[in-house]
Amino acid sequence: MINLEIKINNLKLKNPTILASGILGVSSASLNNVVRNGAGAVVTKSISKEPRKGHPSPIIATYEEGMLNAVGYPNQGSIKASQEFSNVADIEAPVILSIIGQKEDDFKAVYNELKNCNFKAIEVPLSCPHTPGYGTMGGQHTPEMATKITKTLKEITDLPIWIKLSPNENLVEVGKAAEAAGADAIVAGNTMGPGMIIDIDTYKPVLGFGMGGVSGPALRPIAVRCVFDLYKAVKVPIIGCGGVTTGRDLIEMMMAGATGIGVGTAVLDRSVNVFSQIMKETEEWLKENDFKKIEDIIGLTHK
Amino acid sequence: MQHIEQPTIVTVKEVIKESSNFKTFVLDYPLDAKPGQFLMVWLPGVDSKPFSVAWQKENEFAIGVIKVGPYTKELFKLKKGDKLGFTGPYGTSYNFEDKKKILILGGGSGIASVTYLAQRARENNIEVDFLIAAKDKKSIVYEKWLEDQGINVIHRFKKNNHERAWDMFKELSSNNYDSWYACGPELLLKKIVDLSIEKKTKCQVSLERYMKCGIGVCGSCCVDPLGICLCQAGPVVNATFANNISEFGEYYRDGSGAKVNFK
Repeated sequence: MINLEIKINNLKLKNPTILASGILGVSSASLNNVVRNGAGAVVTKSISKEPRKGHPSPIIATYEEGMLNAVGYPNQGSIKASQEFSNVADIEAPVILSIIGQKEDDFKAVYNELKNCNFKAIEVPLSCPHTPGYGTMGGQHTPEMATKITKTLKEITDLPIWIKLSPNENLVEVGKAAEAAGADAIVAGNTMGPGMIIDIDTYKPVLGFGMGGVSGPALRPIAVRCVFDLYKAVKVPIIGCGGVTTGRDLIEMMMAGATGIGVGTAVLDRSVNVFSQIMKETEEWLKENDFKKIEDIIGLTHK
Repeated sequence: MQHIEQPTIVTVKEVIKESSNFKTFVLDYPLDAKPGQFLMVWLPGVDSKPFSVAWQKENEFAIGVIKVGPYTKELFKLKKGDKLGFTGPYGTSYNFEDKKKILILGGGSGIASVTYLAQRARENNIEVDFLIAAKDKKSIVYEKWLEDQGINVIHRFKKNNHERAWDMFKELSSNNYDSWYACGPELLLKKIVDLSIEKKTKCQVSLERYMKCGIGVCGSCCVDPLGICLCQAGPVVNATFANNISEFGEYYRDGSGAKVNFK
């Protein structure tokens, strides 16, 4: 038997796969379905203080090497979300709450509304590339903002705080600032870009928002390099996220230094069951290569 | 990526005004969809929304549209020769090939999901009774189109029969149909599903949820308590499956994911 368990902060995950925020995750039932399909942990769609309808469709377009999305953070707002997610302790894997905001008070307000829902950690994306006022478009991907927002949340909660970074630029710098401010883990990272796909028959961008974050196989080597760089710069655990579709991809990302692995776009090519599929492939490789514990491959490339 | 999701651009071949707020758009493209499947129909710079295929021929197909909001208002401006885009077809379809005699109910914009079923059923020489659920006489659409294909059309404004669609459906259901099919107001679908389980009659319904991506990624159409996306597990589901969806006939989620109750 190969031990596939990993630990991130005080959380035990039955395997390293984590549903990336924004994919599925609209409801408790949706998160539960992802866990039934093998995820080691799940992250909610990002919750804002007030409800958001998100961007017009198409919200997703794909091309040969990847996917573009501009979903625009649709969510029912913190008050209704606290009812929707009131029972996440019933889900048989840790559920992580993704919080978005513009001002520091927004993050506080969302946390306070949802603090009794039994979430096991909080993820804060400073890195969405396609929503005005938020992430890279809101000027949040800087060492200063990372420090401010991390400290704001650390002051009001004992839950682990995970800061999600952009692969575009400043990743190590912002990651180090977040760690210094008390972040418990770094997620590397969000989608890159934004990119654009134009429909040449109508001369118009395909996405409703015009542009969108690039994910999937195109992003994977960049995400691997981000994790590799970050592993040398911070001591807190890293959640690698970007294009992981197969067991081979997960192993590569862990060798670069990731402890947890975000999976999102791969749901499109391999269905929601992708979590089980990735872990089956990983387990086979570990067996063939005489590893007893998946933990032993973390950071191997650096050794 | 295995799935390339980018719109196919098609030309509007014809616009047919079916009623004061219902239009059929005939599109110039050899589509290969099954009855009940849907497309995401893209108006560049406006939005993209799900529509069932209303009918399909060798080199053209149609969608049926009720004017309800800003998107359909823009869609209604399209004329012959204009272009729009679509992705799909997506989702599940109706099983009908092995049937001899079937009952179909179509109501509201939902009628344009079962018209294509009726077309294919007749091409397979299946006997079709088609009940149109409509509030008033002027919102009856596709009556002649259906009759031209040898379909028996029933509605409350025919022969001064003023019963509600549900009462007419119950009465018709005592005939020996091999299967029932319905798409329309969800509270009516719920009654039909419950009756089919009681009478042990095969039944499929098409359910509408807020669909944004159509490919099982965004989660906006996930249903309680299963947590699965109806853009892939649906829109066409059988009666047992429908009743495993606890929100069926109770509520749906809007574009933000918030629950909205059916009245």
